[in-house]
Amino acid sequence: MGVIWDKLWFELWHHKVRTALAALSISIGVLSLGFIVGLMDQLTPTWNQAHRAVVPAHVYMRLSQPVAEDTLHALRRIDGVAGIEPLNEVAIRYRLTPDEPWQNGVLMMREDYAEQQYSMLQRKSGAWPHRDAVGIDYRTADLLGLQVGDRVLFELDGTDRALPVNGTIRYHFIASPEFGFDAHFFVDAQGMERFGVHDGTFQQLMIQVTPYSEEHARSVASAVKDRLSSLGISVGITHYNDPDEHWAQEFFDGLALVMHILAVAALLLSVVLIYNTLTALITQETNQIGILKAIGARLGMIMRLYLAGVLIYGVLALLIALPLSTFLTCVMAGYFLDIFNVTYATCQGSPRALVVQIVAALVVPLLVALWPVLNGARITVRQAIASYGLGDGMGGIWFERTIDRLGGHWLPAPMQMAISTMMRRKSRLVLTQIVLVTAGTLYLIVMTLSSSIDLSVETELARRDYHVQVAFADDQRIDQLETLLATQPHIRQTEAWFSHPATLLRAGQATKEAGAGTILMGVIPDSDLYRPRIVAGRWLLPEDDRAVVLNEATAEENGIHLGDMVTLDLGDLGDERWQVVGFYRVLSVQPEPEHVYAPRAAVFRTTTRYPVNHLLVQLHSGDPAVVDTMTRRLETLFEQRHWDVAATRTVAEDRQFFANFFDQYIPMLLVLAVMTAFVGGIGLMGALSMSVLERTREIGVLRAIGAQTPHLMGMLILEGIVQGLVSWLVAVPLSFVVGRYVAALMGQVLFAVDLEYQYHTWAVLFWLMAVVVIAVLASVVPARSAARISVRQSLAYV
Amino acid sequence: MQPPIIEACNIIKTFRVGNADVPVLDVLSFSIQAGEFVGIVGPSGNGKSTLLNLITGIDRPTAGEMRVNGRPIHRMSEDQLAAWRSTDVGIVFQFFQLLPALSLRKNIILPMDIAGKYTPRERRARAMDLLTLVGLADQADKLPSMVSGGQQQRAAIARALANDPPLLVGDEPTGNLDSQTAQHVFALFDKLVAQGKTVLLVTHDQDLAQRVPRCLEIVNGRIARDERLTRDRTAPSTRSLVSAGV
Repeated sequence: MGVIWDKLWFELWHHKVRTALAALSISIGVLSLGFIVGLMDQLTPTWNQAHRAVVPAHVYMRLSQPVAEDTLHALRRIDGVAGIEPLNEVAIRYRLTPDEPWQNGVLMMREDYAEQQYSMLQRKSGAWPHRDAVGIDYRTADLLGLQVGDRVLFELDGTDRALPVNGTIRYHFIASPEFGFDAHFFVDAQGMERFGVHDGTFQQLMIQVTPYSEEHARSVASAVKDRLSSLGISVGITHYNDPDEHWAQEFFDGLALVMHILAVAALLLSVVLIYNTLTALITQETNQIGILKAIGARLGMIMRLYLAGVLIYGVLALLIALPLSTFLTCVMAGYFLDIFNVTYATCQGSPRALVVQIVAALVVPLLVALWPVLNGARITVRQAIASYGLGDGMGGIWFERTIDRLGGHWLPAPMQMAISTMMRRKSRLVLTQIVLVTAGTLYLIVMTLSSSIDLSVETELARRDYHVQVAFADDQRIDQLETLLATQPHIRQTEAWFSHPATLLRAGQATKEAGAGTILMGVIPDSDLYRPRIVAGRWLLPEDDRAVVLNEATAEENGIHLGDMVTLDLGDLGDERWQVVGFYRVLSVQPEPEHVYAPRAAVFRTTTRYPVNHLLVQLHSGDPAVVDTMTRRLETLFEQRHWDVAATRTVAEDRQFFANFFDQYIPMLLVLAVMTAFVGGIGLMGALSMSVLERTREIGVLRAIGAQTPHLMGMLILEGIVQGLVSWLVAVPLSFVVGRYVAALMGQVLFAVDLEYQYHTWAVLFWLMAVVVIAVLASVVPARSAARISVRQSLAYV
Repeated sequence: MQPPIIEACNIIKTFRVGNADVPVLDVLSFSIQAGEFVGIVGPSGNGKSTLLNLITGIDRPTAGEMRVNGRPIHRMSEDQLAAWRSTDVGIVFQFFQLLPALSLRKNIILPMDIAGKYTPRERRARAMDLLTLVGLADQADKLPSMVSGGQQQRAAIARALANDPPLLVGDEPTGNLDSQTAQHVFALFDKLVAQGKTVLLVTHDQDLAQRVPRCLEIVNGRIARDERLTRDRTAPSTRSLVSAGV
């Protein structure tokens, strides 16, 4: 190895800040790519394996009435049915102490826990439930602080019934309870009898088809439904599961898309940083390149020398990024898998992530460096020694003259100097600005996404002009309900609806087909208490007969248009054709059957029944204490009359549910925004550090004519601040223009909701402060270096 | 008679300034024989350094031919020129231009590495010999920033001699040194000429210019004077240079 390589080592070691900046610039892109590829590689196989491990049922059906074993036997003989396992699932209410309000929960029963076939429950601790003990979802147990042996109070015929917990169970198809999902409990058949479900009868079916395909599953589901229909049993809800794809795959795909976009953005920013750093480095080394050429070094040798340097930066970046990305991957994979209820045993390295990081750390910088290195190495000895640095062709002198003229008139001397030195390397300025503007724009877009979510939640909740919603387990008479409520204090207005599971069949679809599972809501058309947001057509009118308003997404999925006639199959209540008069859009963040709204009177006429099972209550005061008191009072009131309440929910709880859901993501996006801000800071620090190195002689001259440390530091910090301010001026309008589209896209991709757009104006001010702080912090290290330069050093500098 | 080591024929060099071509060297022809010690003098901005750059292949003539050691360097590519410079010419700059990252010894080894001349062991030994020649053996492992300007310039001369080139070229090699140190450095060149090297120096120093056997004066891009002088050959020896501690 020749002494030329000693120069390389010396430069790497001697210019530690420069080496660190170059390695950091590369490592940012490497880290982002490695983290995201690693995360994808951890998540996809882990949770798909977890999904396959529970042998998911291909079809899940909720029936309008229980069926017995003989019916199941008949259904199992249907062509294409590989097997059917029944279960029961009922809404219950529970609490831990008699003083607490009731909480909504779900009680699930499997016929034989030891012989489960499909969508299997997995025991985490203790024993399977039996007649006098319940199992509990293991994460709900953690959340509630329950252990095996503890007791839970269940609402049973208006009284508390304490049942011990004898085991914790994992149910694959529910997300983290921290999202706000209802607690799941498990009982055996005898235990379920207490809750009104007779042993040997089942209201839900899990069906496996053979051979599996989505189309075949739908066809078999239609055949099952047809057979049930012939027995007078209707199917309320039908779900389909891909046996090889986790139930949250759609969400995950959206997340993966956003993450990949961010990773590519991080890599591009990294590429800009690398290019900027290397161009500056080569510029700084121009004189030495000239010397090397003067003593005989050729283009190839010089290129090899500097590309080897780049390779070393890459190796250093890899050493920084590799452990960090592995750590982040493991932490975030654990976080996401926990959200989606997958046990994460060990964090395994991803060979693909390793390869991607090696390529991003070693190959990408070499490719990026090729042009500046070639450009620098091609410089002639005369150019290198006679003039310092490469020519910079960007911009025009008119621009500088204008800046000078304006500066001369309006700007104080230090700021004028800061601007003119900033303009000296226009290509570097542009690249640094790209990094800072991207960071600022991303931050503002993330904040706009956050404020759009807030607005969407507020808009959605503003449509709910009631305070409490009560769902009855059974149908109730309107007159009795109204008479009872009329005597209660604090109530301003009530409204009773009728809901019934329905299958939505578009024109031409036979009733026996599976169709789309929905809930028909018979509502009061001129109600003040709730009206969904209409996005096409119109809302219901009092004079409407068989008119329905559908969810926009459901209509789109099923190819239903305004004015179309659709069939609502209500099972035992018959099936009729209804005309679609409008489409609504609702902010919904959990998979649940969509509502089909129809005038209550028309539903009554069609079904020739006049009950209600859904109640909206508006109180005189929205004070949380009043709402809470009234909710409990109503629950007690209904219990006393043996009107079984399936669930109560206040608007405040809805708000909390939304908050729980979105709060999982906003911090993650903010972390990404902060990371981009960090990248911006590194970019700015790199640019200013290079600027200091280039201006060593000039700084020495300033020192020689009396410039003191505060002058020099102030000049550099001011230059950083000017750069930060310029980037802010560009990022704000840019984020305003593109934020609408990006926030809408991210809303769709991440949450599958159409968000109301709201630009985050406070974030603009915050980013202004942040960019100034970033600029100051990024300038401090180079400014301190500048302040340490002595006159002797600067004049000795070549 | 041997062919000249440098042969310039109708050299024209212009630089573009704005929209105009400004002539710097204007139809200039001369030749220099091997073993000559030639000084190039003249007012600032009249083309001395440009001429030196053309002789070393650092720059190219706009028109005309430049042959050095029989090679038509005006026709050579940048890489060919670099390879040629590594073996055929040693350059000494006004500001020394040593690589700050390398010790004096490694700065001298570097041209040998680049040229692939000598074995690694020979390179190290030769570097020490050259440092001894210029009186810097005891400073061999110091970085350029740790020694004086005169010492840096002597190291630069040693580096120029690394590959034993027949031609040594200096652009104001004493311009950045005090007069006593300049005298000593000049003496070193004198000694090299005595050993058979051809030395070509650009200098402003009239005293030194009077001591070179041949003086080319460039005025307005033309050779205004080409004189062979009778000079006082009382230059100090290398031994005295070392003892002077320059």
